[in-house]
Amino acid sequence: MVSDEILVKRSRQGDREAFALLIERYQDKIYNLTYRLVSNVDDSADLTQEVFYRAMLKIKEFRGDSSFSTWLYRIATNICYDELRKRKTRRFVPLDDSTPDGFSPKIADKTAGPAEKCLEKLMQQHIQKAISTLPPPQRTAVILRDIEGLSYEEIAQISQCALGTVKSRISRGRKALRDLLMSEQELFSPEHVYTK
Amino acid sequence: MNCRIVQENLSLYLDGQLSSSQLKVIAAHLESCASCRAEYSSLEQTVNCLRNLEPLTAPTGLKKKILNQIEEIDEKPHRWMLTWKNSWKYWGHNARKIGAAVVIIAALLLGKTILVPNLDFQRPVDLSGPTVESGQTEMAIPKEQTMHTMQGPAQLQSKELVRTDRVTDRKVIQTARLALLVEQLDKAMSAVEELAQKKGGFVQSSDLFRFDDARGANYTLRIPVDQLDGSLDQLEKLGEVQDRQTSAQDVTEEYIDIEARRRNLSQQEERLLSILAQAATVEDILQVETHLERVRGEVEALTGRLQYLENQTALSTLDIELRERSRSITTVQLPHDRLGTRLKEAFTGSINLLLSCLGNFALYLAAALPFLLLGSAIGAFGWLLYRRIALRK
Ligand SMILES: [Zn+2]
Repeated sequence: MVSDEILVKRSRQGDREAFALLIERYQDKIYNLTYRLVSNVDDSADLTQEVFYRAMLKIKEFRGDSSFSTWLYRIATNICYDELRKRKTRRFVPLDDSTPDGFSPKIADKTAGPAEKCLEKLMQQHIQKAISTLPPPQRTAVILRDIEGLSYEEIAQISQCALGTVKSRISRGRKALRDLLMSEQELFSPEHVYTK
Repeated sequence: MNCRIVQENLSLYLDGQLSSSQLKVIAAHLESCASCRAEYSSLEQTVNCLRNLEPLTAPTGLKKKILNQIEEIDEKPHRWMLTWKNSWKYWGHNARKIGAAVVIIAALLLGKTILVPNLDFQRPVDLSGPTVESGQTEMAIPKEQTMHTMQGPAQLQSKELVRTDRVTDRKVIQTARLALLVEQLDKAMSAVEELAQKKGGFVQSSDLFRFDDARGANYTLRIPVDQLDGSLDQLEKLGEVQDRQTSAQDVTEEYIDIEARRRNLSQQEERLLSILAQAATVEDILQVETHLERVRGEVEALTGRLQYLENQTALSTLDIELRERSRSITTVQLPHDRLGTRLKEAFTGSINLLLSCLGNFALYLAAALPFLLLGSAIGAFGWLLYRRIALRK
């Protein structure tokens, strides 16, 4: 396999096929990342396009002081932050112990498909919803660590912050997610679903 | 090791991000403590949940869409525009160096005009020749001169800086993040909202969240760029600062690039309109119209992007995270905080004392200078006299 560095070099010289290979290599990762950050499939397709478009515009500025993927992730997180800022919606997460809207009722009237599949899908939605409640810096750190599987150092480079900041963001983000997910866990245990 | 410290470090423990001795201590604690073990397993489960999330794949055709969009960059800017862009780039890069050189030279000149008279004060030591009278007059003149020259170059320099700023008119997206630990969330929240208004900005978005036992709020404020630093300083007083970051992203190049592309497209649009006016067959008209539609769509998209950049550069974006101090944390953290602030106070206190001592010393020196000079001049005169007498012997 041709290395990223060579493809980047060729892309800088105007080789579109090289850049096409880079897109192929990273589009799923970027799409995944943008979806986890903004929680909307349609938006993440547009954002992924924007990421590569901007990468192409700026590829001459890429000096190779980080890996290409780190650089690309940085562009992606910046674009997603812009997007999140654009959404002017006031989003209030309930502070009391009641369940976030839309979760428990759906379990009660689950009708279509095999129970496990439905449960699996609900679980996925549930986790994504929980992720979306995290403040963006924590959200980014947790996504990059636990979903994209990056190292702490890479995350620090992408977020352009200190390693210690990354550590605390990941710790806090995971804890907050744990609290959200665990408070709902009883609802997701099979007995609960079948008795309802 | 106490449970609280163990639990704070479990996330790092999970990733092996601790020293081997810390890892050992926590492993040993987990062996013996059931509640920490439960905490650990819940955290591990959460991480596994995230790791097992189904990876999404980009929709088919996305790559083609991206490549099409990129191809348009290749087609659109004509050669003259590229060379113009490159030459701009060249000057853009060098303008910074030239600007830096100008500033340094100006600073040197300014420094020299201030420092030279000071050097004159010290000079009588090696001047040793002139008489007392000339020494005194020399001294009286530079003192006045320093007052004038100090103002002159300083004004010039600041004017110059303003001018270079205007010439390049850089588009910079200023963003800042501030995380604060506050005593009372509601008070801090209303203070944040009030500040946004007072500074001529607004609250773009806000939300409340809960972390552990404590409540928190996130804000995104849009603040006029020149008010950002002042706002940050004011906000810092609302609580204990956990994280403060500012960043500036220069988008001048992109802005100019898009502007040029839009100009080019508008010209194309005009050309197409004139072609349309002359088109004879329906087929021609349709063809030109579809072309025109595409061009107009692109102009619209570029205009949108320009407006977005205008918006982002006109106002800085300030993300604030407020977190209320929970009681359990308070008892643990307060002694440390007190110690920290006391140390800091002690440190800054003694620094201030030192500075004021130095200041007083400098003042004393300045006040004593005429006498010192007079004394040294007399001394020099005496020494010369002595030497002449000694030589005669
Ligand atoms: Zn314990």
